[in-house]
Amino acid sequence: MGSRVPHIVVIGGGVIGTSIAWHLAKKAARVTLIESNDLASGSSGACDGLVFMQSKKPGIHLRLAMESLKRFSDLKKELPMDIEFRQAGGRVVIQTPAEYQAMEQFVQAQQEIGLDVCLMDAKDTLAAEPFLSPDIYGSTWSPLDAQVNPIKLTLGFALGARKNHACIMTRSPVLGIHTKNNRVTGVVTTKGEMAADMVVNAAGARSGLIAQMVGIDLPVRPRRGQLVVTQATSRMIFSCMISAGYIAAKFDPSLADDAGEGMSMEQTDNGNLLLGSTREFEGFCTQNTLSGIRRIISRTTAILPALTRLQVIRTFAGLRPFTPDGLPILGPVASMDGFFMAAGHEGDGIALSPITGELVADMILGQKSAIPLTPFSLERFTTPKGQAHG
Amino acid sequence: MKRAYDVVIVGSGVAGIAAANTLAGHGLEILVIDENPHAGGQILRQNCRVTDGFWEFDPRLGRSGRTVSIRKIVQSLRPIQRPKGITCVHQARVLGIFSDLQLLVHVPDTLYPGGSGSGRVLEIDAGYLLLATGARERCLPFKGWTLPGVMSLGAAQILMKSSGILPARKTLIAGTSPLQTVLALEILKNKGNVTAILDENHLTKKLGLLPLLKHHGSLAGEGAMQMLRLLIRQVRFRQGVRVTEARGKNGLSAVVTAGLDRKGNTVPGTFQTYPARALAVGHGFTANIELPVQAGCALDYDADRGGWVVRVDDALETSVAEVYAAGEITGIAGAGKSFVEGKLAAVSILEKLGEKTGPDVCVPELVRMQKQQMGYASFLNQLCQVPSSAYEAIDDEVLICRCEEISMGEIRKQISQGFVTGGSLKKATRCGMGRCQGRICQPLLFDILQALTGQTPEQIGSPSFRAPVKNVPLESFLHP
Amino acid sequence: MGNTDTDLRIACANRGPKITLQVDGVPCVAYEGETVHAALLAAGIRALRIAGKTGESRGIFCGMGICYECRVTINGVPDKQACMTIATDGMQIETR
Repeated sequence: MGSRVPHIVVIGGGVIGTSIAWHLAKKAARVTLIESNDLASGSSGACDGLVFMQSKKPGIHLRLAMESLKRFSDLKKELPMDIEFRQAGGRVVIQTPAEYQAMEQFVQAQQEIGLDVCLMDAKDTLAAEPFLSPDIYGSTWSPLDAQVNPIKLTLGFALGARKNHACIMTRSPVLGIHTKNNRVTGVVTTKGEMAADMVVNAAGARSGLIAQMVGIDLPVRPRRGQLVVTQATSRMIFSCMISAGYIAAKFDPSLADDAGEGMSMEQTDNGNLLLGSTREFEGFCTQNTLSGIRRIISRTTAILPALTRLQVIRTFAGLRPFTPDGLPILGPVASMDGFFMAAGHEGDGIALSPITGELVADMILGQKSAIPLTPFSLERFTTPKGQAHG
Repeated sequence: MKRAYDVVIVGSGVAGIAAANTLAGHGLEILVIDENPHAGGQILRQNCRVTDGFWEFDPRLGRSGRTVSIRKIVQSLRPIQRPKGITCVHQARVLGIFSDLQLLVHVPDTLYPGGSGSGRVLEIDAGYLLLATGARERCLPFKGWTLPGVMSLGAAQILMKSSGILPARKTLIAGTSPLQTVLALEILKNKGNVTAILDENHLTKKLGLLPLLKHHGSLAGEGAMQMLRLLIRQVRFRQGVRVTEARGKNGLSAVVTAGLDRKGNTVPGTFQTYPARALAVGHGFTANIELPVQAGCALDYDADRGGWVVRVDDALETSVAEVYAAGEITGIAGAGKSFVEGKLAAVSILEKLGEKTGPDVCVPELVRMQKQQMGYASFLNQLCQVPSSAYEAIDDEVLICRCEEISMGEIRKQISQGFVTGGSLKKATRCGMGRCQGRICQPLLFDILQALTGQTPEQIGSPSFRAPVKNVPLESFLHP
Repeated sequence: MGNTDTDLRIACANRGPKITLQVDGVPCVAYEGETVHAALLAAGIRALRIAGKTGESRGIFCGMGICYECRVTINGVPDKQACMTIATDGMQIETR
């Protein structure tokens, strides 16, 4: 390589890839971002915008999320697009006494590490959110939780990266990755070949397909999440919400089959309500299903009955990059020099994108990073003490 | 209403009715779904006002081997008893098409009494699916085109046809579409007044397109007759004139126009103002491809067929097996082609099912007629086409996306930032993310992108649509 | 609202029986079989709703259920497409 500035190729024009490209470009690295379709055309354009802290287990996951949150307010100023970041707090809605008990413990653990979260009874909850059903049992509330427009965030990162001289290639599917002596040397796309000193796999739910090009098996599986969009309307909820069941589903996939899928709700700046979500293993299929739409609507209307007088204007589905332990895969891989992972955030890609971009950029450029990346290495799935969680 | 049918026909316009008639009598269970209160689509809407019963075309119409005019189609339609096996539901909307030809359908409470008042959403299985969803109008946006009183040419016709109500005492008519003269005659017939017809096309363009009509003597003759009748009635007719602004406070009160040069650019100093309470304006048509896109059907772009249309083979089968398309969605060419294709698609389905078609169906003649009608498509769509300079000239303050209220200025800004595909521009601007899912603004956005970036249709990309393609109450999903 | 466009009903058209609609609390004559958007236009009402961001009035545009511009509240149900709804006697219609 000599004294030449190394060329870094980031694969994936979603929120993770664009964040990495932006962070790298800001530090004057030579970056090319490659996207097979349009920017934000995968999961980052088909998800909700929740930036939730209290849904994370205390430990490395929450720490990552908290560091990410801190960076959002700066992004709001730095990115050349209004990312519609709004820190209006978030609520975990509790519908049964059993959930209330479970959440009591969860909140206690969070409070012990200093997270600003509290448990509220039904009366206080309804005082804050008057449109919620009087049948709810209570909620947990954190002023830290926020929401953002995921598409605008992705496009903002990309525009910011380009402003800092990153090259962005859309509509350029990657066909292969060249290697020599166990080291990446180039990337082949439908638009031709380019030399690469380093390749970052930020292809989200499709990151497994990219890794296969260099002979690496990833434990990342696409997990479909369907969402329902209502018409724009006057303010119906004042903060974003998830159900206690949603948290359960996040930590125990076996619960996801039925009620464990939970629900999420947010009202965008535009006034539309985004209702979610399903969690289904259906391969790469992004079709909606009547049963999926029905589940979402029956769960959300049970909590927010006023929804029933609204109209559905569209539904969509995105593929969340699921990993077995719920944590992303970040950093170098032992078997291939110059190949880096930045994928597997499942439903947290939007919330974790600012910190992911920063950490991966720092690591690639050999700079000191805010959080060590070792707990997120791919090798955690192959070593005996693989459970990095917690 | 059952949950599974041998054939489901979406749309009961000319193509849908022709297909249903041809499919009837073979022991098949056939469902015809239409979102309108009555059958007939846009062309036959005043002829199919009765809700029960059905209609058929004079069988001779399919054997002429010649171009079929709208007039002939309307005249040859006659009411019949609903054929055995045909179920016809109205005010029911197909919201989506999922794998294995499963249709997501919203049905009103009249079909399923005892509901919540919001209707309900059902899944219906189709053995074969025939999409005959028709077309809608295009409109070149101008300042004030969102004012009440400014409407499509079709909207003005529908007011008269469906409800017997004039758009205004005096109506101003503008655009590029042949519907202009049809509408003007309809208004005069109903004792209304036409302020003027302002045709954007110069006579020279129209004369230049005449060779395309060489196999369509009857259609050309009909057009000439319409013009003659308007001249006799002394309707003011101006050519090479475009609406540049609609004025008014909470409704239209005046329309500003400008003269156009041969290239279609407005000529300074040629502005003229007309008082008006109704402006009917249209710039051709675009196919209703939401459901074919939902079904996964491949599309083709062909300006001579009206833009993005459904790709079909000779049998009118789409790229998705067992899904057929007929009428305007395979290419905008008027009612004649819809009639022929409705019949042809039905014949193809019957052949697949091993059924013999009746003696009134003569396939070689139909195929010949279909080819001929396609020639008319080139004339029609070129006539309606707006030059790209007109899109370049749209003022920044003009709204392009009426639902999300996104202006041309915002679109220009995002195009300059590099969002030059249809999909990326939608993401960057919210254009098309509103209630109509881009039915009005997506064809515009496409034309704007072509005009401003010079990209190919494939580079810009075809539009996407998500179920439900029509707005439905959340409540309707709660009742299985 | 302006009523310079009264008498828009075509004399020779076949009409159903006379019915009465309540439009923003005001009785309004219509005929069975007419669509709501047409009946409102005949009553001189062109502006049917207010667009959320610009605050502009909107009315009939496509007339065939495509554009969603003619949304009104009918019998308490908001956002019904006036052009796709047949008027019935006693119908309560609210424009905004």
